[in-house]
Amino acid sequence: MIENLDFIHQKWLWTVIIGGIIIWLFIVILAWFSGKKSRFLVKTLAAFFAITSLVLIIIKPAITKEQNVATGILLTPGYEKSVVDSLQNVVENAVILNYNPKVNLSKFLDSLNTVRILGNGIKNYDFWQFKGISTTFLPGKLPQGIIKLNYNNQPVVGDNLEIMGLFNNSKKGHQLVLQDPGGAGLDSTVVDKKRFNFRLVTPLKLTGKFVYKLVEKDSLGNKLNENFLPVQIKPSKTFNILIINDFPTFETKYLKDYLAEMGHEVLIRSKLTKDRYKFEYFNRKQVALYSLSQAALESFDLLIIDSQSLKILSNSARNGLKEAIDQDGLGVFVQGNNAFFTEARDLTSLKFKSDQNTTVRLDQFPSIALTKNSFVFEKSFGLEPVQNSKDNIISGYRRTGNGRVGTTVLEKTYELLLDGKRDVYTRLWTELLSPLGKKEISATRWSSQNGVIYKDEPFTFHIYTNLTEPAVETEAGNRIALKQDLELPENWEGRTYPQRQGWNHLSLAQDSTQVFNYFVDDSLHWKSLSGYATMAENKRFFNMENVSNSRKISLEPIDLWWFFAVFLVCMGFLWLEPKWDE
Amino acid sequence: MHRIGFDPPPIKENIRLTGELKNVKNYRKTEDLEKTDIEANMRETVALIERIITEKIPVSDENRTLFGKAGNELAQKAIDEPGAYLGTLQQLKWLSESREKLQLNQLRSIQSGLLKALTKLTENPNRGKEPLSTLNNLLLQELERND
Repeated sequence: MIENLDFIHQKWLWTVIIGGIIIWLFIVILAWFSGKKSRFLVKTLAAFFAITSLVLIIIKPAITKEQNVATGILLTPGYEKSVVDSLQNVVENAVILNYNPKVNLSKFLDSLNTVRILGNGIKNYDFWQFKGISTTFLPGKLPQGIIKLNYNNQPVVGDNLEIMGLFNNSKKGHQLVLQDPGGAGLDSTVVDKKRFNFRLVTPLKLTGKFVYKLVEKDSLGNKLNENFLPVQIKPSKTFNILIINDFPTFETKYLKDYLAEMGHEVLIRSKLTKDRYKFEYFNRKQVALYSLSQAALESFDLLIIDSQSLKILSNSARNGLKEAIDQDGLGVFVQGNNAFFTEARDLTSLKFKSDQNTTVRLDQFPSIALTKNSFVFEKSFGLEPVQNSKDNIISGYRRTGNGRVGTTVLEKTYELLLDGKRDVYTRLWTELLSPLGKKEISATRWSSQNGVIYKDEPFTFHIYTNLTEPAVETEAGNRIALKQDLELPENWEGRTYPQRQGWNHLSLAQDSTQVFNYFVDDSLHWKSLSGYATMAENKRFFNMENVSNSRKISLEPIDLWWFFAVFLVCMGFLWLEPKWDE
Repeated sequence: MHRIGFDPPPIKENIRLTGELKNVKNYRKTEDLEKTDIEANMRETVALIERIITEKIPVSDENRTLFGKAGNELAQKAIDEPGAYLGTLQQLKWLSESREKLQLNQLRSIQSGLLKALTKLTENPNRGKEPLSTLNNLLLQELERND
């Protein structure tokens, strides 16, 4: 009995007991010095009981009770009936509840100490309700349909929109069709395996916010379901390019034509003879540029230089170039020759090893043979490969400070243009130059971990900014409270509950140009995709959360009327006792 | 290979190039090679139709002029391939002149037609964005140190 006794106001226990003893001693002394000593012992006892009950009224004793062991079964979408049946055979008196994210689970969970979750699992924003409860997650079968999806939702115009994913289906012959915003088919594929990796591609021809569609059709062409692919196509930004050549080459001639046609600002300095240069300016004003210095290079994003010019740079020019790379983030592309590939360079620290093949087929264009120098990159830490041919790195770059220095062992790429393979040529040079050039520094960056964003469900976003107190507003102008990261002060987190389907945006109150567009989907869309993601999250969460099989214990307070009655009787006796003798 | 005889040391450039350079001048050339987009109005129309549908904005006279211009651009292409673009061209013409309320599926089919007619853009090196972050800088500094 006594081990089940506990006090609700445990923290006051000793203060109250000491106070009680003091009062009791006071009454004892009072009894000793006043009146007769005949009933002294009875009086002290009565006082003791009265004060004890007073103490107990204050600290409120309670009896601990262990609750009945009960197991709950939570059914989430995608559960299997057979699993429920066999669970019910094993577990007696199991409480079954159908999961609905809109219903409060606390009533159901309060009476339970173990819960089995069946099916795809619960939404991640409900995880907190399961803390402290021993939970087992029994995943159902993989959902039917698209379970993995990967595409860039902020591509640049001119690029390809590439949609990759995993389709899970037991039936063969289904088709996946990529449709444009108007509903016309762009690309399609036929599912011929149970687990089918698909890839759909379409070129992007204009900028703006569009909603492409991914439609699933059966083998007869009947539409089974339709999902949205929101895409925000960004405009392409041009570079300010400086080309320095020791002598004119065909490679540079074709490259400059291509870059200038695409709208880049290009300045070409090719040497005619000692201290005499030919300057060509495309899409830009004339400036004189004789020696390289950090100040002269500041306005350029990308320097294309042949290895001969690099070699004969004066010491001051070399230092200026190095500072422009390290501090300003200038990108450098070196047009290499054999001498460059054999010697290790101080500026570039790119290393090469010899490779006797002089033709190569890149992984992305396996049908096209390209000419190359008899070298390939030597793999080293910090080398970022750009183009590979099986195990060999053909093109790559390294970061030095804020900038990047890269090159390729390919040569005579202009032959592609002469062969009429313009697409390959442009793809090749886009890949080579895009990662190198100086990046535009954005003070603010938005991101979100949510895969598909649904209406009325929490949508968490992150904002990286160097503002000291950023304020984020919704379309309606409501401020969203932000939480600052403890370690990274420029990282802020916020949460909102989108109320409108379609494109929504968040904006920064301090800078109205910083807008984050996000697409809110209908809850009927992407069911298989979000089901699979939920399943993975549940597996992770409930395996990590190793809850000990804790027993549910409740405190039941003893009725205070009992102590009050004892107090009243004892005090009554003490009050009446002197009157008895009279 | 064994050396036979005498290999003269390479002559320095400043000794070798002692010819008269007085008449050799720097040469400058400036050109604007950027190609203008001949389908600009068509692109704008596709984006405008998307906005008309999603944001439910009314069609203004200015918009109708744009539709007309896009129609002219499309007409140029239709001369080469009349079969492919004639339908879209008719609808676009109707869109630029009619004052009736526009049907959703009509707008969608014009949009698809225009998107199909647009020529694929040439791939182009693109200047990326990079967030300024202390964590990035710390990482880069640390990488430098271990170089």
